[in-house]
Amino acid sequence: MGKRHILLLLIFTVLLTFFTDLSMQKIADIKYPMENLSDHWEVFYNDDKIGDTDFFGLKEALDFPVYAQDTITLRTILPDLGELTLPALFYRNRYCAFELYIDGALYQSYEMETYNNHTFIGRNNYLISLPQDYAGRTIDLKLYPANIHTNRISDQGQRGQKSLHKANYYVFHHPSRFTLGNYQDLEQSFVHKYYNELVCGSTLKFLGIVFLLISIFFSILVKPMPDHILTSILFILLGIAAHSYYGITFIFGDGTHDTFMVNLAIYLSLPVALALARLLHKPKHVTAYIVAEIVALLYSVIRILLHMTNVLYLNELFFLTFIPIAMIMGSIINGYVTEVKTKKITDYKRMQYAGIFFSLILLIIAYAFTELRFQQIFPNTPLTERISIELLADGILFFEVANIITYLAIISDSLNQNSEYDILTRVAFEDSLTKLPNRALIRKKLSELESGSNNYCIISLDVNGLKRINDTYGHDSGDRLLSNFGKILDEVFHRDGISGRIGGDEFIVLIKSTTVQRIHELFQTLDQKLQEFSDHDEDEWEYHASYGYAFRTECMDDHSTYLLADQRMYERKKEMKARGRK
Amino acid sequence: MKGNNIKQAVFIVATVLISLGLVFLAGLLITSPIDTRNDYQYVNMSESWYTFDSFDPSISMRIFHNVTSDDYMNLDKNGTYTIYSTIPEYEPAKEAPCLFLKGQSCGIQIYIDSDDSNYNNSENELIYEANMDLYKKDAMIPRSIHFIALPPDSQGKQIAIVFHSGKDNTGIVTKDIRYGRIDELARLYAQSKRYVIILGEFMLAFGVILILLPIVMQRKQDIVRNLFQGLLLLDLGIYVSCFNDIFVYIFPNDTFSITTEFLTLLAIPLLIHATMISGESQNRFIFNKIFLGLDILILIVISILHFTNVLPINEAGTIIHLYIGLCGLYTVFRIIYVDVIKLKQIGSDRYGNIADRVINIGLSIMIVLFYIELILWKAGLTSFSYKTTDIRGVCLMFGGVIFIGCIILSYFFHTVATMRKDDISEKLQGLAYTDELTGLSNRAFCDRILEEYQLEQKDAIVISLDLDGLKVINDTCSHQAGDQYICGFSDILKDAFANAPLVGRMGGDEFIVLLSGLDILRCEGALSNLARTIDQHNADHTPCYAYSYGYATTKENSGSGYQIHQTYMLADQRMYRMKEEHHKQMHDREVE
Repeated sequence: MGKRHILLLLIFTVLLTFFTDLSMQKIADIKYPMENLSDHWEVFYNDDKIGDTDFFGLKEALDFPVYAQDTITLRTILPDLGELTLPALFYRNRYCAFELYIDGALYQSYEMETYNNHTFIGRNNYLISLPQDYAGRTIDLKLYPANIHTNRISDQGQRGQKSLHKANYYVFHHPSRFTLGNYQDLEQSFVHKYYNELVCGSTLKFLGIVFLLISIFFSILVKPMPDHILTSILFILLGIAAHSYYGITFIFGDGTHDTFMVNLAIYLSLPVALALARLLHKPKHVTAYIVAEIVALLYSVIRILLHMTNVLYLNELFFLTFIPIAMIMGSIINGYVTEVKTKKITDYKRMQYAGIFFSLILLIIAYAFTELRFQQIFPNTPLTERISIELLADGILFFEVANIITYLAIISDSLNQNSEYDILTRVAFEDSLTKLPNRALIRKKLSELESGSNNYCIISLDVNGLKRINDTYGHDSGDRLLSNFGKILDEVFHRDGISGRIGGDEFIVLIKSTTVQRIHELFQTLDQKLQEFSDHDEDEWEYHASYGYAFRTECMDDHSTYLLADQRMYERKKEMKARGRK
Repeated sequence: MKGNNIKQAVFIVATVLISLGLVFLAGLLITSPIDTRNDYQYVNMSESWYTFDSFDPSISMRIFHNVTSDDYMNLDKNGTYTIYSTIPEYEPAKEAPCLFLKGQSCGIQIYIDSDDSNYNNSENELIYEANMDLYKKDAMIPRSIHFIALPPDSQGKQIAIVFHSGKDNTGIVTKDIRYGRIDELARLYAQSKRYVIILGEFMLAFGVILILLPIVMQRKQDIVRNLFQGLLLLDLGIYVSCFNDIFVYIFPNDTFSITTEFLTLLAIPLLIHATMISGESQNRFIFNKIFLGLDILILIVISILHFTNVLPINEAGTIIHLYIGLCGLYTVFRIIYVDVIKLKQIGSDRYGNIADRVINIGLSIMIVLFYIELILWKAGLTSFSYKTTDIRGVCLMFGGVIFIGCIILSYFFHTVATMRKDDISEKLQGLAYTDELTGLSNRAFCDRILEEYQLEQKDAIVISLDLDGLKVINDTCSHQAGDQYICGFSDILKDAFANAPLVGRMGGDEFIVLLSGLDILRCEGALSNLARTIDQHNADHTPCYAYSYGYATTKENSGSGYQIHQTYMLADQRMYRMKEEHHKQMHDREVE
C-alpha cells in the first residue's frame, strides 16, 4: 500500500463524487418548469430606489457599506411558468433577516426575532411556498442585514459606525439563489445537487460516533489508542461541516445555526488535527507541539466565546485559521520526511499522513476556488458551482476513505499475519532437524505437567553411534540418523506422550498418567522399531538407543526426575557397551 | 491467562454492543436541539374524519361513524373506503393550502364539495387523483406520500377522500393526515425521517466504500470478504430507506422504490449467508451453502413472478417472511453454536480469532432483530414515533448499526492482536534464533547470516571452532555436566568475540564466529586472547576446555567468485587439521 495507492485513492475519490453527481442529474425527475429569477430586479436602499438591474448587476449595485438598522429591498415580478400545483421560491440568504411581500402585502418574515435581539444570523436556505396564482405578481424581498456590531451605537441611538464586510450580506453567488418552481421539484433538485455532502456528512457523523465509542472502550480496557479517538472526533466534526456548509440541514430540520456549526467544526478540528499529526509522527520535542495544540485550542474556545457574546463572529477574521492549518501541514510534512529518512515509515502511516495532508489540500483548493468564483475571477456558472461542491466533498471524502482503507488493511494484514505467526511459533518451538518439540517447548510442557496433579514419567534417550557416523560419513549422514530416530520416537510414543529433542543426540519423552507396564511395552515397541529401521536402512546402519525412565513420584521435583532418568539411561548405555564388547 | 483474555474480550463486546444500542436509542429519542424545529405550523387532522359504514339494507339510513386515529380499516382488493371532513380555517395556510396524506398502495381520488350540507357525492369536484391508472390496469400500486394542493378558497368546505385498494390486506389509517402550507408540511415530514435519512445514507455509503475500496487499492485478499459485508450493508441501507419512503429523495419514482424495497428485503438472507460463508469459521458447513443456493433460487423465482405480473412483489410478503423466518432460525443457531459456544476452543491467537467471530455474532444479532421486527409487524406495530421522529423498521436499523459496530470492533480486535503479535513475535524471534542452552545464535540464525553475507558479498573471516573432549565428559559424567561444559566454553567465546557480527553454535560442539572485514591480524589477536582466557580458566578449574579451530577469509577461495559457504568449509577443514594434530599430540603423550 504505497504511494501508488494514495494516487489511486485520490483518483477514486474524485471519480466517485463526480459519478454520484452525474447519476443524480440523470435520475432527476423534474415535473414542472423551474426558473432562476435573474431578469429584472429593482433595488431599494432604505426604501429609496437606487437601481434597476439584472441579477449579475446586483453585486455592483449593492457595493456599499451599510449600517445597523438599514434595509435593502429587492423587487421583481414573478414570471409565468404555467400551472404549478405547489409553487414555491427557493432563496439562499446570507446574514440577514428578511421579509417577503407579495404585491405590497407582508407574506412571510424570517429571523426577525434574532435580528431584534442583535444576535448572529448566518447563512440559510429557504423554500417558501407561494400562492397558487403566483404568476405576474410582484415580490419584495426586504433584507435587514445583520451581524453589524452595534457596540458603538451611542445612547442617542446613533448608527453604529462599523459597517459590514462587503461580501457578507448580498453576494448572490449565482442566480440559483433565487429560484421559482414547484415545491417538490425545488426540494428534489436541492437534495440532488448536494447529495455528495449529504451522504458524506451522514456517514462521517455516524461512523465517527461508533468509532469514538469503541476507541474509548479499547483505550480503557486494553491499551490507550489516542490517535483513534482523535480520528473519530475529526470524523464527527467533518460530518457536521459537510452537512452545515451548504445548509443542507434545512431540508430535515432547523438550519438557522448551520453557519455557527460549520465554523465551530472548523475551529475545533484545528487543535484535534494538530494533535493527530503529532501522534502520527511522535516527534522528539513533544512539548513544543503540545504547547501549539493548547494555544490552538484556546484560540478556538476564545473565538467561540466571542461569537456567542456577539463581540466577534466566527466568520470574521477567518483568514487567521490558516495559521493553524499551516502548522498542521508543516507537522505532517516534517513527520513524513523524518520517517522516510529514518526508514520508519510503514504503509499504514503513509496512508494516514496522506489522509490528513491531501484532504486539507483539497479543502483549501475548494475554498480558494469558491472565493475566486465569488470575486468573479473565475466565471460563475452552474458548472463551476458544481466543481466547487464536488471539491469540498472530495476533501471530506478523502479523509474518510484514507482512514477506512487503513483500518481494512490492518484487519486483513492481521489475518494474514496469522500464518506468519504460526510459522514463527513453529520455528521457536520446533527442532528444525527432527521436527520434534525442542528444548524450549519441552521445558514449557514439563512445567505444565509439574503444575498439574497427575503423576508423569520422563524417559531420557540417547542415540548410540552418532559421533562415529558423523566422523565416518559426514554430518549429513548424522543428520539423517537423527531425523529417522526422531520419526521412530514420534511413531512409538505419540499416542502416549510427547517426544522432543533437547540436545545433539539427546531425546526426551514426557508421558502423563501411565504405568510401568505400559512403559515397558513402549520400550519393546521402540526396540522393535529400531530393529526394523536397522534392517531396512539403505546404508546398513545400526540404530541403537539407550534409554532410562523415572516417575515424578520417585523424586522431589521435575529436575531431579529428569536427572534420575538420565542417570538410568547412562547406566543402560554402559551396560550395552559392556555387552557389545563381549 | 487464557480465560482472562476471553473474558475480557467478551466483556468488551458486550459493553460496546450495549453502548451502541443506547446511543441508537438516544439518537431516536433525544433530537438535538440545535437543528430540530418544534414549531411547525400545521393542523393535525387525524381525528377530524368520519365515514359511513356499509349500510344495512333493512335500514334506509347509512350509519355515521367517527374515524379516530386508532381506527384501522382493512381493505381487500378492489375495496373502496371513503372518509369525509371539513377543511379547517387556518390563517397561515389561507393562500396556499395543502393536504398531506399517506396513500397505502391505493388509487386515491379527492373531492371538494361546494355545498356544506350535502353528503352526496354527485356534486363534488374532483381536485386530485393519483395511481388511478395503475388501479384500472390492475398493476401494482406502490406506497406513496401525497402533498395535495387545495383550491385557495376551499376553507370550510367538505372534503372527501376515496381509497381504492389494489390488493388484499391494505390498511388505512387517518393518523398522519395533516393540513397546512406545503413548506411546513414537507419540512415536518422530512424532519420526522431525519434519523432514517442519516442512518440509511450511512449504511448505503459505507457499504459502497467497503465494496469499492479493496478493488481500487488492489488488495485481492480483501475483495471477497468486503464485497459481501459491503453488499449486505448497501442492501440494508436501501431497504431501510425504501421502507421509510425516503428512497424517493434519491429516485423520485414510487414504483421503483417499492420494488426495490422488496427485492432488497429478499436479498438480506442471501447476503447474510454469503457473508457467513466468506468468513472462515462458517466456511465448511454444507448447510450454509445449501441455504445460499435456496436464497438465490427464491430470489429469482419471486422476481420472475413479479416482473411477469403473476404475483406482484408487495403481495408476496407473507411468503418472503415465512422463508426468512425459517432459514434465519437455522442461521442463528448455527452461528451461536460455532462462534459462541465453541469460543473456548480458540487457539493461541485469541484476539484475532475473536475478531472474526464478532462479525458473525453481529450477523446473528441482526437476524434476531429481524425476527422481532417481523413479530412487531404482524402485531401492527410497524412504526416508532416520538415527538417529530417517525421510523419504520427500527429493529432492522438497529441491527445494521450493530453489524457496522461489529465490523469496527473486529478491526480493533485485530489491532490488538497485531500489537500483541508484534510483541510476541519479537520474543519468538529471539527464541527462534537463539540457542536455548548457550544463548548464542543457533544454527538457523547462522544460516540466515551466512545467506545475507552471500547476497551482499561482504568481506568476512569465518572461524570454525570445535570443542574437544565433549564426548568423554558425556560418557563419564552426565549430560548435565556436558551441558555445563558447553555453556562455560560459550560464555568465554562470547566474551572473546563480543563485537563480532556473529557468534553461534552450529550444533553439538561446533561453533562459528564471523568477523567482518579481512583483518587477519585482528582475528589472530582475538584468537590468542581466547586461548589466553581458556588457559587461565583451565589453570583454576576443571574440567579443562580443549578446542580446535580454523579460520578462512572470503578472499581466499574467491577464484570462482564469492562463496561464503566454501569459506566456511575451508575453515572447517583447517579446524579438523588442528583437531587431528591435537589427537596426535595426545596420542603421542599417552604413548610416552
